[in-house]
Amino acid sequence: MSQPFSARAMLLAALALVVSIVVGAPHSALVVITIVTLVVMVSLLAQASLRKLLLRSLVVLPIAGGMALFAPLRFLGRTAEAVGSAVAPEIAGAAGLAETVQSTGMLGSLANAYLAGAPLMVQMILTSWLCVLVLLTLATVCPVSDLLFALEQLRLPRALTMLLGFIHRYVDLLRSELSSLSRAMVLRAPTLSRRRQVLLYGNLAGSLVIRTQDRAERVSAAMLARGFTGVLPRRHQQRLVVADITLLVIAVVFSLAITWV
Amino acid sequence: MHIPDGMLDTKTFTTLWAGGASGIGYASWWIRRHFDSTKMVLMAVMASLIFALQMLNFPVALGTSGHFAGGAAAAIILGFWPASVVMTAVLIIQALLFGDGGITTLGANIVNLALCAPSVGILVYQLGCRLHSVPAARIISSFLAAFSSVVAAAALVAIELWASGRAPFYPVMTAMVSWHALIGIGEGVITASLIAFLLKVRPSLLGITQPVDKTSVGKLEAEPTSSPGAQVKPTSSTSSAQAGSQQGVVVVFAVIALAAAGLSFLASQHPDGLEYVYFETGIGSFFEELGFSKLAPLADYLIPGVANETLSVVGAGIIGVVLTGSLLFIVSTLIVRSRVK
Repeated sequence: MSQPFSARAMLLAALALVVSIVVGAPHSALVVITIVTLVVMVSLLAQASLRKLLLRSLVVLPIAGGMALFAPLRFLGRTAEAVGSAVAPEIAGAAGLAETVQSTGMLGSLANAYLAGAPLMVQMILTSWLCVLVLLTLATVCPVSDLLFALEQLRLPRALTMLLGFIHRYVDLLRSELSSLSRAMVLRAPTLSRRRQVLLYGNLAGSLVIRTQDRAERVSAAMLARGFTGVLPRRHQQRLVVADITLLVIAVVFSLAITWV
Repeated sequence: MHIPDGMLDTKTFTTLWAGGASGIGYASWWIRRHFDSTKMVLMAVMASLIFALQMLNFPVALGTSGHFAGGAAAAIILGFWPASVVMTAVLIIQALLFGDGGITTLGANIVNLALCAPSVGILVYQLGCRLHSVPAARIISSFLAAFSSVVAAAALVAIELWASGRAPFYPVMTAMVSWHALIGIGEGVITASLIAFLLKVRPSLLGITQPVDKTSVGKLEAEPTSSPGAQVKPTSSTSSAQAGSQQGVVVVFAVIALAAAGLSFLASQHPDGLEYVYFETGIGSFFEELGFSKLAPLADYLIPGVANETLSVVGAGIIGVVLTGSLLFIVSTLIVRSRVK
């Protein structure tokens, strides 16, 4: 997988795009298609697996869907005029469902509220999905170390970038340790109920805390021996090249277009 | 409980970004000031652990499951400010690399999960430990701490969704709190057994120097240790008081800035009493014609040149607070200096 642009340029472009997607919602089909096309182009340029990217982006649907489920409840018990004025004109007009909101008993009212609020619900989920798609493209295309360096260049506090670096370095190690501990727990006590297992999770977490503490002390001693002074060594500043500036200009123009046009 | 992008409107997410950024900015400064390089490494490796522990899934109800969040556990083991930074780092990684939680909503997620959950957790835990310092009380306190931290964060999410106009207040609050109360029980059980295990095996991690003896009621004493959560005590009472007052000033400013940015949206569009009288008597139109109002740099609480009204109002609110605070700081410093002389 190759990296067509510098991490800093891609991070800034992704952030601009995400903010404009959120601020500029609701979006027309044209905007949605353009964003997806942009994502496809970048992932093709970086030779990333598009199928994997799309599948990973679906992770947001249950969470966004769960939260968006509440949105139509705003229309509960409202008149058709009130619903029409409460939602964005393009949503209400496109759906043409606002007039269906009438008080027809509790269940009927609920069903009507969901009918009237369905376009809004879809917009919320779509906005979330587009943002996740953009961010996952960034994560797929940029190596994590470059991304962390870009965050540092964007003046994220040093303590935070150091933590991010350590999480990146040790999380897989600790995850595999946690998996092996849980596997051992299940193998040693195969007849335990799920409830009993939850109680044992505390012991498992506790033993992992102690192992991690010991490991951290060893890591700390080793780092101090190598001359660590509390600040991770920095790489040289990378200059933005023509390709990066082009990407940034396209991202900014596109973001402004999404937000205000 | 991570809010994805698109769930909050502009005024809410910008307000929460301001609050989250100021809180975490202060927490980072606190860590640089109080932690040496050894403790930084210990905390950093423990941060990876909190991330890994979020893999622990437990059954909730109706075939669904919840996962360990770890806000309260992090605060109990590491202390409040380190726990906030650790949770923020975890949230950034989750948002940037895993698509779990958004970028525009990162401020909200920081406020909910990195500031609110650990603060509620540590408050409840310390309150419980102050009432009784026996191990059983610590374990029960840790259960209550984890439970209340999850419920408080869920309630905050509900308030944010309501403030964004995305959901009506009562349904979303009821659903979020009741569902997360169930998750909170799981979180509480795991946290309590984690604390029980640490009390038994390595109490020093919880700031307790002596091995726990269940018969030694009231003998446990918290002392600074080499654990990452152990806070370095200032050497003299003067430096302690100074550090305390500086912390207080920063926290008060952060809260005021957050409130100013958020409350600016609740301001009425109608003129106040004096303005009303001015315009009723014609004095207002006379001054308006003279163009005095246009001379103000932030007329009508808007930043000139910013087209987005929401951003403009938030920005003007924050600029106002910063300017007022700076002026107050300069005046109070001058007064203090003149008294010293």
